[in-house]
Amino acid sequence: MMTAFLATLAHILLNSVEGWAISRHFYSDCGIVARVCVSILTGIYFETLLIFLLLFLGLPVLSLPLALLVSTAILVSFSLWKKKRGQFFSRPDFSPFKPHWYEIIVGAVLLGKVIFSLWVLDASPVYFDDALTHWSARGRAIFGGVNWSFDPNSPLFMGFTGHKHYPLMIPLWRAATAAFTGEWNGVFARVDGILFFVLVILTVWAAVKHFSQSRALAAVSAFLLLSLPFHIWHSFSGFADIGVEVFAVASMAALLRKEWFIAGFLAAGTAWAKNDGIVLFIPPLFLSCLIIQRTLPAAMKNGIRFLAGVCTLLPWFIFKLFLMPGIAPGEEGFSWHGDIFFKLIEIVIDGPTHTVFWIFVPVILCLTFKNMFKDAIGRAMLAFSFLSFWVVVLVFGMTDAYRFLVNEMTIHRTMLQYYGVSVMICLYAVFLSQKKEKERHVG
Amino acid sequence: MVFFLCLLPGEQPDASSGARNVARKVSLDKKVLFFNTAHGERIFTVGWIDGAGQLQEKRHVSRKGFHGYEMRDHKGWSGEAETVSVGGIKVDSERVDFPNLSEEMDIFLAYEPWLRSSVNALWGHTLFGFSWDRVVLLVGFLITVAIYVVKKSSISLTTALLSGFVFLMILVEIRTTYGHIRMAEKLKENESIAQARGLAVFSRQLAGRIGEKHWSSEKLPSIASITIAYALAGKRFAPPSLKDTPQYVISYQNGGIVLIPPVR
Repeated sequence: MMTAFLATLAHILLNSVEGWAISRHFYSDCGIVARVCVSILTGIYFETLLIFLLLFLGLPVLSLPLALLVSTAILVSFSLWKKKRGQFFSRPDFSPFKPHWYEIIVGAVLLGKVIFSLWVLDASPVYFDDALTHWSARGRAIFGGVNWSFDPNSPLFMGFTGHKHYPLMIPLWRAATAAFTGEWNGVFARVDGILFFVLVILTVWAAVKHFSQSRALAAVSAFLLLSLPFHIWHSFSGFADIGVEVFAVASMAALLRKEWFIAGFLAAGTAWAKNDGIVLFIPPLFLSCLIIQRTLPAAMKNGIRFLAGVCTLLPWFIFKLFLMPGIAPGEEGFSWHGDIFFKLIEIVIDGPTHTVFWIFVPVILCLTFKNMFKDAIGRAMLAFSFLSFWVVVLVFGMTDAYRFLVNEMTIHRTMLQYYGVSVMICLYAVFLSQKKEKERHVG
Repeated sequence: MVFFLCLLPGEQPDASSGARNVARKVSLDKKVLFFNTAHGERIFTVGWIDGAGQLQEKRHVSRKGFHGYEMRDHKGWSGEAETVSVGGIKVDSERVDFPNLSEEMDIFLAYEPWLRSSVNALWGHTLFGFSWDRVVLLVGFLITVAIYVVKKSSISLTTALLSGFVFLMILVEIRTTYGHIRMAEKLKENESIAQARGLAVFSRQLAGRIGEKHWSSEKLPSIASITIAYALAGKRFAPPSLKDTPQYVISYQNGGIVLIPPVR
């Protein structure tokens, strides 16, 4: 277990260096926490894309650590070569951070959740169905090398188990981690969930602190995400849904920092983690990118930058287009289920899985609609919420996915993917409301 | 040599435990179901014929030992029932009765069960027959109103709402953390985890025996099938197109998993 953790930490460190070397060219001014989160996610995204290409070209899995070290060295060298005087080591602000009492409490809760999740990893084997099939078995097959093929004529095309349609970020990252130690371990099969869980909390905390300049509001946002009962289950489940969530929230945070290209490839990261991202997140995030702009030329210019980021996933899209038609497994047919809204209320809003979170979110948005609509960022967030809502309704109301709503097999995991972005949007709405209130008093 | 592993019963309802009548001609109002069982974290069904002669059902998850199970939140649990029965689990010391305060707390403090479906949906909790989420919603609403009324001159309704929501999530978090501590205590006794662990150990032995040869599987129960497929993902799988290749076959026979060596 200890070796596995050290290998995982080393891999995460490598990702953060890779990611820093790539994303530093597109950063705006943001705090150290946001920078670290973006670096790790950027590193995971580009590393797994690179591995996909290398494996497609026939490179053996056990040579991956060397390939990754070489690519990281090249990226860092390139960054050093491109440094501008005095700007390469644009040191983030390391002024002493004196935590307030509420930050200590939230930090303790976060630490407790992480320790609990690590303990679960140690106390249980890989257990949940999708982790055993789609995410970890495929990762293990890639690592093993004998049950995997990129040749569509092979019976082992895209593995012998799990949905062949599912994208490869999670299995590839797990296989790469295993390649560092030369053997598979149950920790590799699930530990990225804990990493993503922590990154969601930190990304939202940093984003709320950035736009509100309020550490109290930031702490509240972190606490809300920590306390949602369903969230912690996906830190140790081995599923990919929390991977979608973290890339979605990081993309939205990047939009708020006006990092259009970064927002684009992080949005693509949602689709690289799980197919859901193609429909549930890329369109609403792109719409937000357009609406957040103040002028039409800016919308066109920055929209193109966003799409350029999304296009970094083209190798996967091209691979799917030519070798694996279709977006999702399952039957493809459309029929409208008229009781979709009642089902969503009964199962999502009134059910116990999300406690009262999906009552709080629409109530806040309704109360603050006017303020949000008058603000450019607020409008972008409302557009995201509106389009996301209808996408969920259409996916679960018009397609084969309806049965996964009724039997509750997928719907709650889909709603979990929206946790981070929803908390960010709600806290922005509250911040805007407080700002208006202050202006009213001053006026 | 043929390996054999006897499968333990899983968390699915035990089909061999037919429905057992636990009460006849009993008033249901404000009562809950109590019983003792040796099996924790098994899904079972409570069925009853209500006063109108309709069959009503509610699914539950068992807890090892003698515990109460909330029924008052089901709208059909009222009036007089002809019979009340429990299916899918072996029980004893059963009764339908009013819970006292410590039994109410025992029901409230039941931890979220560890099931294969837990990553898809949670079962939730009840307090005195009411959904815990509705209780905290009411508390949050009252806190919001109180804060807004007291501090109306200095904070907005939105801030009051956020404060109320934070307070109710503190209650949720305390309840959840307690549940996690209890879950952690019980995890090692969990039958389906013990089964999964057993399958994992057995699969490692299979992997050692299979070596560089091919393997395939047939007729395995779904949990065993996916667990073994995960464990053997690094060993050469023989798809149907390779059926003539000498291969180990992992099969389900006589209540257990067997490894059949290649035919020479």
